[in-house]
Order: sequence, then structure tokens, then C-alpha cells
Amino acid sequence: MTSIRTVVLVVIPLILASVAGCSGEPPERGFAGLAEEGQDEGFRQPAQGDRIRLPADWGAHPDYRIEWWYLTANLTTADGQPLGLQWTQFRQGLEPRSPETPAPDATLWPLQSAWMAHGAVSFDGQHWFDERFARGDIGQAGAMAAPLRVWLDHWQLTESADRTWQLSASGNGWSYDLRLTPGDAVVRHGNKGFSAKTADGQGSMYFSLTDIAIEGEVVLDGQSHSVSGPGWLDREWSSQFLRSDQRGWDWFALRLDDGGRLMLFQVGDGDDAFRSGTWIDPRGQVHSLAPDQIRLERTGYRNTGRGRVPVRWRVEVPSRSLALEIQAPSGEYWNDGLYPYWESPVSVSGSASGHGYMELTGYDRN
Amino acid sequence: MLLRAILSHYRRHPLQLLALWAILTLATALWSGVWTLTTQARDSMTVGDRQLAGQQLLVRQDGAAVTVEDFSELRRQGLCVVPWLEVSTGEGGARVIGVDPLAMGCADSTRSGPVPVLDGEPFVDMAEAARLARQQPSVLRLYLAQDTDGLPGGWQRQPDPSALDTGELADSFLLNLNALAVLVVLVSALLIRSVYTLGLAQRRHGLKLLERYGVQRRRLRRYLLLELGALALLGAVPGFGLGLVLAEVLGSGFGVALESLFDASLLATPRTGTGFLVTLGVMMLVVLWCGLDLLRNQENRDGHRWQVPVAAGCLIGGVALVLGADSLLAAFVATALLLAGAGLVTPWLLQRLVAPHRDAPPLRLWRRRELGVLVRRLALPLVALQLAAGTVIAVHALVHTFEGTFNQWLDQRLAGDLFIEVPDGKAVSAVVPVLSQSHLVAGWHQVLRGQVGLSANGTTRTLDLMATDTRSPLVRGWSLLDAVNSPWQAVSEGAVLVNEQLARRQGLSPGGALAIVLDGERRKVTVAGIYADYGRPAGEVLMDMDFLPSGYTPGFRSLTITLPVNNGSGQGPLVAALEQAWQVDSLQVRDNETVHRIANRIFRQTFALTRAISYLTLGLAVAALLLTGWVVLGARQWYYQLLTIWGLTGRAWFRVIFMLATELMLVVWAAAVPVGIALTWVLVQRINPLAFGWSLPMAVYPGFWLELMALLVLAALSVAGAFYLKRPATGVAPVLVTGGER
Repeated sequence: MTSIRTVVLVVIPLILASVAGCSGEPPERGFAGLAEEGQDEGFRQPAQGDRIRLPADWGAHPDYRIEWWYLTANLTTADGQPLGLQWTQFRQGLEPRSPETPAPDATLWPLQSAWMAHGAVSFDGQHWFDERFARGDIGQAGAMAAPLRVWLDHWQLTESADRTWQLSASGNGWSYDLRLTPGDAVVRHGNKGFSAKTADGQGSMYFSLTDIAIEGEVVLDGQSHSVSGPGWLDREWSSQFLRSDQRGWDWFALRLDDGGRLMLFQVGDGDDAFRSGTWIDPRGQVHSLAPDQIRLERTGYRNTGRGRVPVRWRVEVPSRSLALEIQAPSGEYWNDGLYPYWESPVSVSGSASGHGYMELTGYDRN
Repeated sequence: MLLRAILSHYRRHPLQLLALWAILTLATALWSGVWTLTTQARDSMTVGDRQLAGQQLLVRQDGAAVTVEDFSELRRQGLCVVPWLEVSTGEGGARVIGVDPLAMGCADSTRSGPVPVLDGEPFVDMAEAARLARQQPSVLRLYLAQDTDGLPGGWQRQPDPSALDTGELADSFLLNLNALAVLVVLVSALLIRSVYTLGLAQRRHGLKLLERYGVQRRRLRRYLLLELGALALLGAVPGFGLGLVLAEVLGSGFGVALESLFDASLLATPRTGTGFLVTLGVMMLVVLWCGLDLLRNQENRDGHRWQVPVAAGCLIGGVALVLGADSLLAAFVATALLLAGAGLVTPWLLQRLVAPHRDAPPLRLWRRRELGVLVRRLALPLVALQLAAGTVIAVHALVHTFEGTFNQWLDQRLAGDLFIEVPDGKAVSAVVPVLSQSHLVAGWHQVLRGQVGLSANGTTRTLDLMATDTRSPLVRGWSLLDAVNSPWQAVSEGAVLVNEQLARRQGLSPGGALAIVLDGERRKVTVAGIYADYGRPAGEVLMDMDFLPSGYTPGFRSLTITLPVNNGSGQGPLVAALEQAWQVDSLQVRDNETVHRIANRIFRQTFALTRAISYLTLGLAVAALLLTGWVVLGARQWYYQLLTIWGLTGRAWFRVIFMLATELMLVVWAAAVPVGIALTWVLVQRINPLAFGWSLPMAVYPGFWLELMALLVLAALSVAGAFYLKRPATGVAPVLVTGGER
């Protein structure tokens, strides 16, 4: 009998083929470019006027090509050291299906969608990362709205009866087991949840929980740390994120010490870059930021094993009197998976101080 | 200027340069090809072993078939299980295997290491296999791809029943190939040296002339060594490239053999850098050996007196070592000594063999004398051809003997038509009513497989145990290698049989005693006989199942079933009835014919490689002999031409030359056959038991010797024919025409 070992060695091309749309090479633009391969092919496109419907939109959208549940957290250990943490689950549709159509029979091992989960911990200049894959519709991975449950293997986010959430995941040398208490109401980005990604109106549906209280346990290389602190969860879906002429994706979620919160992103580079953002003032009022209200500038670089990364940024939102310096801590924060990208905690100084998270794609030179 | 003078030899004899270069290139190609293959295989096995440490099948304790829900549930519990959906597609035992590439990310080491291209069947995506499984018989298995401490309730590990513990066996297989590669190096070194020294002999006069003109001998030697080094490099580079091509061509068949026999795939990328350095190193050693004559004093021509005593020493040492060898390495060293002895003694023997009788007719007398000259001049290529032909004879005998013996053994082992795995947690008694229906089953017996401890020298080692109903006619048909009187009677009364591997390892013989531990219970049992057990490294004990302790838990249970002769409906109704009686969704059923076919294919592939390498070596040796023969005959053309001056017609002249070439080949053939027979004996009786644990009966195949002889005569015919066509017009003074050798 042919051995399973043969199969162990042949998986990667198939993963590439199934997740990256048979291109055989991971797209340069990182996972934000997943949706670009193959274009529409019957998937629904978000449009101006589309609305967020809760709690249904916490669940999966099989009629869209791509979506994610994206948690980042700036935690502190019991002895006061900062610890950054990420958990993300992606779904990529390979065949569109309307929400009303029942899921295919699991015994047929359908491949209408592929799931990917990322888990990472950044602590003391070190970065731990792992990823997992699964096919959809067989129970190995999925997302349900109420009660909230998002899982891939034993990496699971589940809502308890007391409305708090449990999140656990583990990888090579790291694991975490956390209790999440969602804070204020969800923030709908852009126009009531429709977040434009290009000047000509393409975009995604996007909402966030920007203030989640987190506490729990993180184990790194066998050493256990009690942690607590705030987290930020993004929920986003679309069928197209990047135009074929757009490169890269710079995203920031910042929490200021005075209670203000700022999300901003830049898609593409140079003059063609498209910027957008949301300002949540200390009173909790949400203000969408138009492209011309945001100034974003790279002010410092770091040479890393995978390329030159802008680790220092200057952000200005003059209309809100914000002039912030953003700085990643020392170390390398590559999520070195199928689609390598940079994901690091950052500290904020300038007109206000605080901390947050930065995600950069398109800088991987390998 | 000096360089030009030295190299002018090759301008006059371009064929010789071409011959030398071709031999260097081909020889490099052959040995670097084999080297590449074996290193690649070893790397693959290392990678595979690392990745599959702890690889086990996960099965339900209740014996039910596993489902996709089971898979997802186990994954959600954090177990790295991977699904494997095997679907029989019906045509000639063909199957496809569904795998889920997305699920395999959790298996160890998947991110690094070689990544071959997945190009279709038998591996397809689960979805496609599941679609096929709707119409075709299929089985879903779950493999534990990463070891884990605990298992969820209701689940248990089961060693993959199809996998063997093959590390040692695979090592022996590769060691055999490496030995073959060494033989290739040896044969090609002889060939290279012969072609080179032949050229050197021809150049001696020219070199002497240069010395007389005042060129220092040391300087001359330095230039010649330089020339040799350059030639070696020129041959090694394309040769190594050719070797890689050869490795790729042989690699596909080799990969299949490796995979089917040892459960390992040939996936590693060849290490070209190291490979080239090794090739270059070997080439330089060979070339250095060729250049030894240059470094020594030239006139030492009859320093061959030591040859016979050294040959005798090699042969005596080789025989002593081969008889007493207790390791594979010792057996290979002994074989090398025997071959070296044979190679050294052969030229001396041949000289005596071809010594002419004074009262022979003149033409025969001439031929004999000339044959003596050729045997002396072509000593090295003749020995190379002798060794190559001897190896081909031995490998052919080994393969044929094995095929015959293996088929016979398979027939007795595969008595019965079907094997059915008894599902875990199910009792055989539940299906006895089905098995006793004569329209479904003509005969059956149960086979239990498990472990038994062997107490020896104060320690206990684990062996395989096979227990069955030894009164069954399906077992009693086995022929045993060695046994007491009425061995089956003895076994049904509590004695055991052991496989050949165990008997050899423990020095057991029929009538001897064996201390075993069964389920913690110590017993002393009598060995009633020894049975052949090819293709497995493990020792095994066979006993009657009535003598198992009552609480013994076997690892694996199966039923061997004979179907009724006039059973038109096949196995379908029986399998359905068994599934119903056991209340399971599916059963693991293997039919005899498929097993037979698969087993044969596996071994044919394994030996195809050995055969290919030995034939390629023979081809190289024949080619080298033809080339050197051509050069030598060419150099003596003036002498042969005298025959026409003496009055021989063109046709008669051709006949003489052809007879001369044929006799030369027959002499080699005659020298090769005893080497072949001796090597066959060493392979089947000494190396095989040491490498694999089992021996084969010694057999010779004179029909094949005749085929080989025909091939050599054909080579003689072609060289004589070419020589005939090239001969100059008669009546011209040959010395003036060719400037040939005096």
C-alpha cells in the first residue's frame, strides 16, 4: 500500500491550488488579494447602500468570496510587560452559494470553500506564528452567528451563556486560552458598514468591536503568563479587495490613552494609494474619515529577513487635531505562512499616546 | 611546443582519444548515476522516517467504519488526523486515493523538505474520491499524522496493517545497490586503465624520442599526468550530467520499487554539489591508478610475477571470509577479494589455456599465438568484461531463482481465495453460521496476528506471532525448509514453527527449544520446523490458536476463505452476509489474485533496477573491449595483412580474423561463467541471508549463458566485419601504409 508519507509531502501544491485559485504561486499582495484571483464568477459584490445586519453578519457569507474574523490585542502580563496577540480566521469561497441554499452533503467532502486560521503572539522581541487550513462544510471549520462560534480544528472562539467569549488556540511553542468581554456597540466603518477600498466605489462590508476586555493565560515555550488588556475585533467580507493595479495594504488600529480610537488603512502605494479610516472619539462618537482627511507617511525602515519594512509611520488627521508617531517594537513580526505579512503591536506617541496594531502586506521580498 | 609534440599522438590516433574520452564519460555516468540514486533514496527515507515517526491508524473501539463526522470531531478535539479515502476503481485492482491537502497542514515538517508535484492518480482530492466512492467500493481511514499523548474515549491506535518495519530491510537494499556501484567503479576503472595504458604503450617510442632530444623524463611525466587530469575532467563533467539523466530514467522505476517495497518514496532532490565532488574524487583516484605506470619506472614490464601469489591470497582469503562472514559488509569485502583474485588470476590462466599445440595446422597455430598476444595485451579489458559478464550471470540467476521460489511460496501462503479482516470488537463466532453455509464458503480458517516475547540471554525481545488452526488443509500444504517428522502434528500438539529469519538469527533448528513469553506467561516450546518468509525483516513464530492464553488480545484478526468451485456469484453475497452478521458498514476484503499480482509486480520492479545496472555495466565493458580490440587489431594490421600476402583470399582472411575475435570472446565467456556461478552462490547463500534474512536455493541457468555467448560472438562478428571493411588494398606494403606497430 502506498504510504501516507507520500501524501504528507505532496500537500503544499494542492493547498496552493485550492486556496490561491490554482495559480501555483501565492499572490504577491497577500491575503487581501485572495479575492482578486478569478474575479467575480457569481460571487456577490458589496455596494454602497448595503447594510450590516446583526447578529446574522457575525456568521459566514457563502455568497461572498472572502471574509475574516480578525482579533488583535495589546495585552499586559502580570509583571507589566506588553504582549501582542492575534487570532484570525479567513474563509475563501471557491464556489458561490446563496445563504438560503443548504450546505452540501459532508460525506461528499465538498470543496466549495477553504478556511485558514492564523494565530500569533509577540512578546519580548520574539514572534510566534502558526496557521491551519480546512475545507468548509464538513464540520472541521466554520462560523455561526448566534451564539457566536468561529472555529477551525481546536482553534475556537465560542460565545458562552453569560455573553462572554472563550478563545483558545495553540501552535508550535505557544498557546493561549482567553476570556473576552465585548464592550460598547459595534462600529460600522465607511458608509454604515460599506467601506470603500478604491476611489471608484469598490469595497467591503466592515464592522468592528474596538474595545474588548481580555484576560486569560498565554503559554510561551512552556512558560505561562497571566495576561489582560484590550482587544480589537474586525469583521469584514467582500468579493474583491484590491484592484489588479493596486499593491499592498497598510492597516492600523490604534487605541489612545484618552479613550479615542483610530482605524485607518491605505490600499496601494504612491499617488494611487487609497486611504480611509474611522475615528471614534473619547465619547464613543463614530466619524468616518475621507481619503483627503488622512496623511500617512513612512518615516523609518527596518531591514528584516524577508525585506525592508516601514516600522515607523507618521499619521495626521488635521480635522481631528491628530499628529501621531507610530513605532513597532524591535524584532521581526512576520507571519510566515502561505501568504507572509507583517503583523506587529505598535506604540503611539505625538499629539496623543497609546498603542495598537499594524498590519503590512506587500513588503515580502521572498 | 612540447605539449604539441605530446598531443600529436592523438592527432594521429583520434579514435583512441575518442575511445578514452567515451569510456571516461560513460563510466562516470554509470557510477555517478547509481550513486545519485542511492543517496537520493537514502535522503528520501530519512525525510520520510522523520515525518512519519509515530504514524498510525486511528480506529473506533466499536469497530464501526469511520466517517467524515468522526474526522471533524477529532480535529476539533485537537488531534492531527488526516483522512485517506481509498476507492477501488475496478480495473485490474486499480484504485484512487482521496486526500485532503488542506487537512495535512498540521502534520509535522510539511513546510520544509522536498515538495514534488502532485500529478493526478492515484492521489486525488477527497471530493473527487468521494464522488467515485458512491459507485465503487471504498474505505475511509484516519491516520494520526502527529503523535499525541492521549486519545479521546472510544478510539484506539492501530499500526497500519499494510506497513512494515522496513528500516533495516531498506538499508540492506541500498547497501546492495551501493555494492553494485562499487562493482561498476571497479569494472570501469579496469576499462579506463586498459584503454589508457594501451595508448601509452603506443606512445612509448615517441616519448623516448623526446627524451633523446633532451626533454627531462620528469617534465615529460608531469605533462602526461596533466594531460590525464585534463582528460578526466573533460570526461567527468559530461559524464556526471549523463549520470543525472540516467538516475532520472532509472529513478521512476526505482521510486516505484522503493515505495511499494519499503513504503518510502523517492522524493528527495539529488544533492548535485556533493554528487559532483564525489564523482570527481572517484575519477581522480581512478586516473591516479592509471598514471601509476608513469610515476614508476617504465621498464618494469614483467613485474607480474607477483600476480599469481597475490591472486591465490585473495581467493583463499575471500573464500575463508565469505564462509565465515557474519555481517553484510564482511560479505561484500569477501566478494571484492574473490573478484580481485579472479581478475588477477585470469590473465595467467588464459595464457596457459591458449598456449598452442605444436602439432596443430599452421593457420590454427598462428591464430593461437596471436590469441596469446591479444590476451596479454588486452588483459585488463578482458578481465573487466569477465567480471561484468560474471555479474550479469549472477544477477540473472538471482532474479530468476527468486521469481520461481517466490511464486511457489506465494501460492502456498495465499491458499484460499479471500482474506477478510475481522472488525475490531467483533467476534468470529458471530459469523460462523454464515461461514458454514456450503454454497458460500468451501473452507475457512482464522488467522490471528499479535506479538510474542522471546527470552534469550536474560532479555526479552518482541517478535511477531501468527496463530491459526493448524489442522486446516490450507496451512498444511506449506512446504517447510526444514522440519522434524510430522511437523504439523507436533504443532497441533503445542510445538511452534519459526520463520527463516528468526531461525537464522537465533541459530534455531527443528527439534530445538524456544523460550517465549505470551501475555506475561513464560513457556518453553519445541521448534517443529522452519518456513520461508520472504520480504519481511521481522522474526515470526507460528503456533496453533488453541494454545494461546485465554485472555490473549491479538493485534489483528483475519479470516482466510476458500470459495466454492462453482461459485458463479463471486464474493459479493458472502461479504454482504458477513457485514450483516457483524453489523458493520464495510469490511476490509482482499482477494488472493490481487495480492499475488501486486506482490509479483513489487519484486519485479525491485530487481529490474539491479538488472538494468548490471546490463549497462556489461554494455560498457563490451563497448570498451570493442574499442580497445579495434585499436589493438588496428595496430597489428600489418601483421594480419601478411596473411593475404601469404595467399589467403579476402573471405578466408575475414574468417581467420573473425575466428580470432570469436575465440577471444569465448575465452572471456569461459572465464566469466565460473565467476558468475561463484557470485550466484555468494549472493543467494551468503549475501541474501545477511541482508534480508532469507536464502534462496542455488540454481544455474545454462540457457542464459548461451545467450550471453551469442551476444559476445555478435560483438566479435561486428569488430571483425568492421576490420574487414577497413582493410587496405592487397599488395601494398602495410607498414608503409599505416605506420603500424612492429
